[in-house]
Amino acid sequence: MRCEKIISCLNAYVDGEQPDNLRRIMDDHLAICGSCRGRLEEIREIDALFQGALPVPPLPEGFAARLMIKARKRQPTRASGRRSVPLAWHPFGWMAELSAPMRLAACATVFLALVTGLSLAGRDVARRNVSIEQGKDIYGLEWFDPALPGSISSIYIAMADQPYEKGSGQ
Amino acid sequence: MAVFKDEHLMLRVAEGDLDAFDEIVRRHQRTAWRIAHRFLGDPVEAEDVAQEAFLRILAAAPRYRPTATFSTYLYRVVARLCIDNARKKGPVFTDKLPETVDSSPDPATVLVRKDRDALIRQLLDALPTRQRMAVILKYYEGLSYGEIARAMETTAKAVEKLLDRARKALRSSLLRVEKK
Repeated sequence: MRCEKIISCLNAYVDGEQPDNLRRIMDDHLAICGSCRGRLEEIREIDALFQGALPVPPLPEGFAARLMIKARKRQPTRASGRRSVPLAWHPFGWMAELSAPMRLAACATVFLALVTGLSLAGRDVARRNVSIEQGKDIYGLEWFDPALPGSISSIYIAMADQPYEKGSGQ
Repeated sequence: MAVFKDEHLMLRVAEGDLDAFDEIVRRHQRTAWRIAHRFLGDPVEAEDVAQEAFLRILAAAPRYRPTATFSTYLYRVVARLCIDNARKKGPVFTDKLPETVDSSPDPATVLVRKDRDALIRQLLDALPTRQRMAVILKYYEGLSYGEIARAMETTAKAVEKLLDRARKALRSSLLRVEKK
């Protein structure tokens, strides 16, 4: 393998990122090539500088406590200690988020709506039992007398009563 | 008492469980602090960045998907914040490096006579931000090229190039110090 290629792979070689077969090829070349070996040593010198250097001071006291204060400010509705469960799939899951008085109010609203609907439906049934004559008096509806036989009206009515057949010319 | 994996805790964080978030913080706060401090060199900035990293993770929790380990996710968030923070501050020029009267050509020998940590701090600060982060994740966190690539949202080959350029820049800076 040419030196140019070896040098381009030296970083990965030093960092142990080479597959075994390539590593063996590089080992063989470095054993005989002083120039490439010199470049390898330059990399290792730099690496050695960082060994044990830049110590980090201990984590500041109260780091987690200060962080949790900020976290709770950003998420005030989800207080610690109150676990919520995944409810997206439940049709009435939203009620779990409500307080007890709100749940009672929601139930009362639904109950009231049902009662109102049923009572209004009852009145409609009662209306159907009103006779035509009574309907005229109550609702002011017009009622047309039956068409006289042989009149134009009776002809129109007879035509309208015929079932429609496609292609019949009607 | 059951010990939950980080990924399970994050799913509970997504549901609004701040106790789970507190556990995540306690497990990983030192890692975030360590990376931020080595990258930025200032304890106040490092604490701000480390805390902001966790707050960003909390805000993004509903969208969290355990496609990688939580550690990789944490590295990514911290790395991004560190790099953004450093870019706002601007570069540090190597002309500010301390002088030395030692004429030895060997950088390691030069550093024996000077405060190694202070000099390395300045050498790191002089590196471009992405090279600096790659060096810190490699030398101090011991991550592989693949892990660094996932943390820095790039490829393993790009990480290799970053480290190559960083090592050359560091050597060049050290030799410049030696020649003064």
